[in-house]
Amino acid sequence: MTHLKLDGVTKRYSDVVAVDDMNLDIKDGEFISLIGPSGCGKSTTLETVSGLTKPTSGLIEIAGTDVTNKPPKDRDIAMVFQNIALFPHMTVRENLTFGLRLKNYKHSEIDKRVDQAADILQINGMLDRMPDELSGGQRQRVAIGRAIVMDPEVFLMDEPLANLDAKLRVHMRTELQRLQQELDVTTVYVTHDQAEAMTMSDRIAIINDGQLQQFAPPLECYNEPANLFVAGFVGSPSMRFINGQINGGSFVAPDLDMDIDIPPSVGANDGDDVVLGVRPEDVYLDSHRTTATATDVITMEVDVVQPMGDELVVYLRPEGADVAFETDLDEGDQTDTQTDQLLMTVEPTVDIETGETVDIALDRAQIHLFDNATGDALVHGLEPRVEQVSN
Amino acid sequence: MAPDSSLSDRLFAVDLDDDSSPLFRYTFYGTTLLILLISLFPFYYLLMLALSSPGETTSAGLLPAGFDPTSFIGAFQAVPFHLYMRNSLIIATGVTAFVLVFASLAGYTFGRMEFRGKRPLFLLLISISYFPGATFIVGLFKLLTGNVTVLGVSSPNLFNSPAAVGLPLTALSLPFAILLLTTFYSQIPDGLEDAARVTGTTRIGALYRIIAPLSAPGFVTAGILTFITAYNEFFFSQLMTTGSPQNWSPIVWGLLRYQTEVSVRYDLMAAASLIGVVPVALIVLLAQRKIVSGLTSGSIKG
Repeated sequence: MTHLKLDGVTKRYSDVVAVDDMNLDIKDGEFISLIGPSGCGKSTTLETVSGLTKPTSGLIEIAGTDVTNKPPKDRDIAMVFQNIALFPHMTVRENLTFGLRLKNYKHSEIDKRVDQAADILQINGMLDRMPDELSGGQRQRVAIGRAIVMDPEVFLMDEPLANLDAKLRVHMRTELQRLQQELDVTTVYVTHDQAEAMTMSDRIAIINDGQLQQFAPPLECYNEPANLFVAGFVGSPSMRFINGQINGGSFVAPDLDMDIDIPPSVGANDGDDVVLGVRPEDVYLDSHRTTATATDVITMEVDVVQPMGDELVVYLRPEGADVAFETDLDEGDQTDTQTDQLLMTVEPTVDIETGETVDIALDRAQIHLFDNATGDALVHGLEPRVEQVSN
Repeated sequence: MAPDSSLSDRLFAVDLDDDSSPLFRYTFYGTTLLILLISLFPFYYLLMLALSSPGETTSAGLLPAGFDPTSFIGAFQAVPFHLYMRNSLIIATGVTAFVLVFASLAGYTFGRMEFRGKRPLFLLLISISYFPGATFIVGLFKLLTGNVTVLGVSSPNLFNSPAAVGLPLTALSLPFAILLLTTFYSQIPDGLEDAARVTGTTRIGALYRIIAPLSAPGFVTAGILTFITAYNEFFFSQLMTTGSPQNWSPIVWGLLRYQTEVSVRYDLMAAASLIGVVPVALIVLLAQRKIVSGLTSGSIKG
């Protein structure tokens, strides 16, 4: 059953389209994440749901009611903010009961709900303290408590963990997950941290430039990205891309000694400009080949080796080529397709050094092809080579 | 700093550690003493005048000439000073209430919203406070005594009413109050207002439940300054009222009544002045905690 519905929601500022024709159908009790680089419109989308921003056009429905023109207070939502936003002049208890008191709930009901929320979040001992006497994690819990006591139809969370330090963030992520399972309230969660989105969500909506790129369960976004943007955005270290052309039924990259035959079922024609995408874990050293569906050997030069502990991340470049040094630091800038460079993860025990020339192979079953002009995915995983089938 | 420490503790909590040179220390205390003396001496002298015997006020100095404390009662017998005080209190309270409500709304708009023409409008508003009240006197008098007719509608005649004094005072006090509140309101993080609105209030509800309480120092300061201005006011009331307590004349009119054609009762005038100060002193005393606590705690962190 659709519980929260965005139908053609568009938000236009004077010369910028922040959200462009957003359509989302979210089921009752579902946890969905809005994810994308900063400035992509994910927060604006959430604000239109909360009512803090009015969409230029489009429709928003919560539990079957059109709330597009209702003020935030009448939408039966509760929100947790990135900057936590506890009222500094009120005690924890007053913060928790703020909304309930405004809605004129009975004292007994208010006390009951506060006790429940305090139990769930383990903040019983601090109800009479002021927010500035609490630690960061405690404040965040109070902020979540302020949302819980409202018993809303929809929870909205705008990067609630972004201001916490890394260790606490992982801890709170687990707590939030457990809490959502316990309460079973429809939740829209905005984040730029794809690890949060992947681990917590039933479905993730990937947004870029105000437009919805893909709305699907996390693993589907990972395994079957709808387009180049999603492919590059989801996963870390991210998928690498090689620009090429279809030539005689094969994918040919001009600067790379690479010739991968493309089954006719893909529907690509000779002369089509396509982009091949492959994730680091699907690139192998030919000597350590573990799959039967590998491509022909490609010879590349090791550019950089990054030991991660459980694996080595190896940056590869075409033999003899002088490729600009590119790493995976800024996840927000992956819209540019990085070409002619491949990433490979190998066992930490493998002996590999910068400048070395290595023979590698790609896992055909995990290769993605995209249309270079539109960016749309053509195929996820190539069928085994014809001659192998005939064997 | 403990929240219950007194105002004087806080004001004088200057860190004069052992390293500071004697010269610095003596200069500090010397200057402080001088400032106190300058500001408090008029009150002391008023007290000496009030305690002097009726005929000897001209020779009062650091000590009263003669001794007659009954002037504090005589002041009420000679003139119905309590009625003048009542008038001043009502007008000042009304003006303060109006100024705080309107300045809050305007401060919210200027401090927290973006709209076309915001800067010019704000500057225009502030520039009103640059004009001395006397500039408006003729126009205001005509307007508020029912002598201006626009499109067949005559302006109301407010002569001898509290509105005749209160309206111009409200208008003239607003710009500064708006300036003050704009500054304070603009510093409240947007998230707090958003949280309040999502949790169950309107924008105006958030203004009075969250933004104004968090701007308490500014709110209280604007209120006190307006109240004192209105309470002390004489210029407009001298123009707009006849001087009798039944016609909403304020304190300064009352004080002038101790002056008759044959004599001036300086002792009664001094006693009445001291009594007149009491309400303002009380209000400042009550509000000082808010002002100082707001100034020291920096309480508007999210």
